[in-house]
Amino acid sequence: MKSGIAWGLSIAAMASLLAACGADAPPPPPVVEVLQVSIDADNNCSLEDKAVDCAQVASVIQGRYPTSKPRVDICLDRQTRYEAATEVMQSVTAAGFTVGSFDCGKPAAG
Amino acid sequence: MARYVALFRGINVGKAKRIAMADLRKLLEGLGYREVSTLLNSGNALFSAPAAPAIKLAARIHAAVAKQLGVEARVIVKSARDVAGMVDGNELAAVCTDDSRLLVAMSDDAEALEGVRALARGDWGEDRIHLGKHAAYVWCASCILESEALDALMKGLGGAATTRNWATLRKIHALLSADDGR
Repeated sequence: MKSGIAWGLSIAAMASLLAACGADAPPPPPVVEVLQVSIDADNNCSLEDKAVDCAQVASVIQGRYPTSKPRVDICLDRQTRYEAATEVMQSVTAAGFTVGSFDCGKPAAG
Repeated sequence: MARYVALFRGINVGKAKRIAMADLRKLLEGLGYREVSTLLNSGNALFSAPAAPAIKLAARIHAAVAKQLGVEARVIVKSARDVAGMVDGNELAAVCTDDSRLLVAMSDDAEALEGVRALARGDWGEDRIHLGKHAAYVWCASCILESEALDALMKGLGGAATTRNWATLRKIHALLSADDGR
């Protein structure tokens, strides 16, 4: 009798643990097809409207979306420096992402 | 005293090579230069100094920035007269419909500029390259990052040049001209 109760308790405990595991399991990373990187007039970068280091854009994308290979649109302010723009483009292409539009609804940069 | 602009290459375009413009102004004043001001955040410093070869001023500023601010960056100095010459000598102004897509690659390395002369004769579609005495000019008909002409020119110049767009160069020219008139 005692062993039956113990057995029942262990099954309940295991079920509860499994349920807890299921609840705590991280959701799969989101899959994205297009991302937008903006470079402002002071040559600061933002990814999805959050500031990121321009040199780290590609690695931030890889960390945030490890299962995605998004197209990356690079949006430039009119005062964005060419050096800043190329730094981002080179890091993105070196990581194997496709660079898409540069238009982003704004005038091209200089 | 003569008016000059010091143009820094590759500063404040990432986390590396950051220079606060206030620190740069202080440094230039510490070197004895007068009427120091900066334009934008990308390293355009205007100042007055006793007339001297631009290359010597550039070397002095470069050394001071490396020592005092710990930043290694190429510095190109142009006199007010040089800048006026660059503005007047821009043969691409006529085709420019957007100042942000006309880039001026300025250099103090005559050999490097001469080395890209052949590019100016190339067929770049709607893009254009023009070579002047102090700078190379590139008109990008579409976005600067899509321009094969600009890409070829910058690869040809290597690290010998720093770019500003036409709007910025005209602002520098206007500031230097206004200062000259004081």
